[in-house]
Amino acid sequence: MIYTSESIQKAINSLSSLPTIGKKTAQRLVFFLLKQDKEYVSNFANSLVELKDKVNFCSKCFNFTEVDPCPICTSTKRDLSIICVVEEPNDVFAIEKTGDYRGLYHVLHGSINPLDGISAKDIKITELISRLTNIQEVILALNPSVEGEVTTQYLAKIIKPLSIKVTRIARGLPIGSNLEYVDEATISRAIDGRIEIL
Amino acid sequence: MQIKSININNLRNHSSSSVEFSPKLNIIYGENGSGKTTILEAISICGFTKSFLPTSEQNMIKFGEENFSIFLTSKNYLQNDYFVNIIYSAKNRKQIKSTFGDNLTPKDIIGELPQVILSPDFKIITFGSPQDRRSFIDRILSQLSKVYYENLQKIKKILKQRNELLSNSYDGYDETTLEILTDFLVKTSVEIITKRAEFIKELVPIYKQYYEFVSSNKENVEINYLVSNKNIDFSIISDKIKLEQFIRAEFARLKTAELRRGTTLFGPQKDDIEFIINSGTAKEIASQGQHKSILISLKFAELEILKNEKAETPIMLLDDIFSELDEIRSQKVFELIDKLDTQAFITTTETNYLKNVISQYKLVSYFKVSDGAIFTEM
Repeated sequence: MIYTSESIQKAINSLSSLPTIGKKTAQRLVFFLLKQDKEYVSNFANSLVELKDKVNFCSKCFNFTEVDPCPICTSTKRDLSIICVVEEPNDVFAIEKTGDYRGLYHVLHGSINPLDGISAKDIKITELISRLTNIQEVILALNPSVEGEVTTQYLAKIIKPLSIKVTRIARGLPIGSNLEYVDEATISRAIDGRIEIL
Repeated sequence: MQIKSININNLRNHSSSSVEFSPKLNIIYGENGSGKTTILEAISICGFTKSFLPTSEQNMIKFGEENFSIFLTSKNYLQNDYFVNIIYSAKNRKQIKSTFGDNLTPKDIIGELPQVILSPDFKIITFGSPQDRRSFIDRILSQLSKVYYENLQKIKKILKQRNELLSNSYDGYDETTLEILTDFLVKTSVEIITKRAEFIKELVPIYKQYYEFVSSNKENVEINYLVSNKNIDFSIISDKIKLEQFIRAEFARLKTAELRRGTTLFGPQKDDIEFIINSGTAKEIASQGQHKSILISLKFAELEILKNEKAETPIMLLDDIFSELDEIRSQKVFELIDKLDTQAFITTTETNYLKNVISQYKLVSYFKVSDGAIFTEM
């Protein structure tokens, strides 16, 4: 398709390079932006530039932050003896939303995935190991995919010899479900991961 | 299980067909290319989300249309209604709805409409490759156990990762990652192999009984499960602990070779099922007639096992098999259908000959198919 302006074409190309945004949506967004006043657009553009200028990785947990170390790592209200390991920064938000977990985090930025050429040294594992002094428990909260499982086993193998308690999050029945309607595979996993009532 | 009706829209040459079926025998006849088999394919899609023929869904959409849809109603042995609705369009994913809800995934409906398919294409079970025989057994076990189905999906992913790691191992690899992937592979292999071995053990006596009934000769038949081409004692392959030890030892033995060849050399993806007749394998020594007898006995044994496990009698789809059977074998097939009390769907080009054979049976409906349109014969 030929656009009457090169700038429009450029903006569409930039927007459609974003995940989940296709050519059509990008076009709609560009025409929306063209209708807004200049202030709106420059605020919008600035917020994006600021993002790259100000947001960095925390040098301890590798979550996104504007101050290094990040507010979670420096918080006095948190339990400094527990680290929860996750794959992506999104996962920190997911766990923080619960408000139940009061320990620290460590973001791996991926999982071991030979198919995509990602090996153990390409994710933040060495950085995790160097943080483990004075830590009593490491909680592995990785995705229940084959890649997540491999990474979980990998971490357990190298952390356990350091005499630190290693746990993984439970897998099984969703809250509010009815046993009768849950599929067999999930139930059998829940039975595998059963816990004793204390 | 009993299919009550089916609506087919834009599937192959059917624009809009809708039929109500007889609870017993359904004879679907018409010329070649008229769309008989498509009706069986539609039933198969409602059971497995896939056709039993190896065509892509894309090519099953009627020419010039954007999507196909199938709506099937049935009732189970408890007289409960069950419906399935499958819509496939080139643009969207396959949409699956059933009595259980909207937006379902294949694993939600596989096994809910148990069915056994007998088609001359399944000659590959005895003639074809080990892969063909494995998919025969995997298809049955997936209907019986969702855990088995999930393990199959899981082992595919593990193998992909492990093979990738092995194929790049010449410029260094991570030993721990390989160890973990091997461990996953061992555990998943144990689950798959024990399940297959147990199934074969259950299948053999039933299969022998049907073989004796179908074939007029008294050959001695047997089925063996081969772990990487070796006939391992049942006491090992049925015992999870022993089998795990055995598989671990195999991987230890094969490690150097695996690194050199850059691929996984052991596992259920390499296993085979061996059909023995008298003293040789069916592939090598069976006659055409014996192959047919094996296939028929195997399929009726499959039906009986599914029936025992599910308390539900599967339906039977017979795709154009009578053109390849002599009159005695045809009669035996009908006797078995009658005896097992299953609802059967039979496609054929020739009805006069069949009418003769089945004149003694009740509840027979005839459907004439012509150019993708179905006419019910009263």
